[in-house]
Amino acid sequence: MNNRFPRLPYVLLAIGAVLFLFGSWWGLFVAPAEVYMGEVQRIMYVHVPTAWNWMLAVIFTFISAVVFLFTSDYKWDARVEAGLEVSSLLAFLLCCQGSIWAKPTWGVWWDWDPRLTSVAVLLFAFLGIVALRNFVDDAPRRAIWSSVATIIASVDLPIVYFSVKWWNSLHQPQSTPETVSPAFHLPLRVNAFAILFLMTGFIMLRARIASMRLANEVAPPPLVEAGEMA
Amino acid sequence: MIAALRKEMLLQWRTRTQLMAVFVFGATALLLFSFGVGPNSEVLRQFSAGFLWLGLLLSSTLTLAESFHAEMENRALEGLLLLPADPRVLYYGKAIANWIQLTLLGAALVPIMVVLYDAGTSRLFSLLAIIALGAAGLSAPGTLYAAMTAQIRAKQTLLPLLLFPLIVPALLASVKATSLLILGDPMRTLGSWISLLASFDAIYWALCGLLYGRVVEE
Amino acid sequence: MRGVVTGGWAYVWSAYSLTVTVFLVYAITLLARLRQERR
Repeated sequence: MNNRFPRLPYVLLAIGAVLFLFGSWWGLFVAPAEVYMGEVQRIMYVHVPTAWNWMLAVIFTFISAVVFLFTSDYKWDARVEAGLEVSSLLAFLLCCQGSIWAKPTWGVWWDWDPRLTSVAVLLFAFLGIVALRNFVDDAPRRAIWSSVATIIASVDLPIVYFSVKWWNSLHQPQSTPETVSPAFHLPLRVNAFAILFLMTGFIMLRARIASMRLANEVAPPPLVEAGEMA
Repeated sequence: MIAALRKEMLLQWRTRTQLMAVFVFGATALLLFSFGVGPNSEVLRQFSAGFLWLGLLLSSTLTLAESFHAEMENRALEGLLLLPADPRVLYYGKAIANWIQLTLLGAALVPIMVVLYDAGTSRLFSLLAIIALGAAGLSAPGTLYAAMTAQIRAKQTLLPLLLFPLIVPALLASVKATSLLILGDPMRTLGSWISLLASFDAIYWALCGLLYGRVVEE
Repeated sequence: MRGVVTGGWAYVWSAYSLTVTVFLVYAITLLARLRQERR
């Protein structure tokens, strides 16, 4: 792992937290309320940045899986493990935020929006791969299989999106949240970077944990201290 | 390739009683769906396509897992790797055999659907085509994941856990297409759904074959 | 549905506090797991 800057993830997390506080404060208290959606629209300042970063996390996990299959370098398997977990975290958040937004807006907790539905499907797919990792003890097999499964699931994402979009469009006309006017740009951008820093910090730390766990697996530390009775 | 396929079909023929059992499982599932909904013929007919495909999907978890049972019993999986055969050939042989099996299962469940839900169609050939395409969508990734999960502990839980989110597009398209056949297609959208299903099949038959070699290597 | 959505601060607060809580809890679990692996 990149241990040239061991403190780097903590720095990123700190920057991310500060940015998030600033961006959220701006979005909650300074930015004007939107005409139709009123205060509820402010959820967008946290929902949209989470969505952008989720997408990045999925792409990162996919690329790590591909690189691992080509290089067999376990550093990339650690990144797959981290990416799977952080993507799932963000996906879970997205589904919750989306539901909280949908209830006052559409009257239901879930309105089969194609984007959110695709997120949910990929969330289940990635959780399945995490479960797979937990049940395979052999490290090379675990790494290869989860990379293969990640590639298969990631390739599916656009297909799922289009099929759900189409499936849903026959039942209700699609309406997206209005294109955001400039007054709202600042909090969106600040929070986008905030969550980007947070996410990167999380992935780096989680990948570190994965590498350490693998190292411990291969050469477990001695259980009995020298001098003690066994 | 033909040899691999012949071996698979022979294996399936020998274990055909198991296929019968899976058929009964599928038919029972269809029956249970109607109990879940209630004796409302209109509603049952509306959702008949969904029930058929859900029943087939559930049954597939049984047949797909079975398809590697023989290899696992005799540790034949490693033995096959020693043969000078491309693992991809083995994969496609199994996938095709599974595909045929699922198509037969689907076709066998159609009369059950017709009777229980009063849901039939005169376009039987189209229905069979949709069942074949949908079954193909299930068997390509299903065979790959069955190969993986056959070798580990929690195999019965993990195969559906991995497969179900993946085949959502195939499920959507198959149900929609079947539904259009049964309930009518005023806007002529059937062709598009079939294209979606066919594209899904093409992508996954290629991708899974490509990746299979890595899955079974030592 | 093209009316004006009134009120809704409760939803906004719950969305933000959920997000913050999830991030915080995850960060804490990461730190705990790191410590565990170091031992």
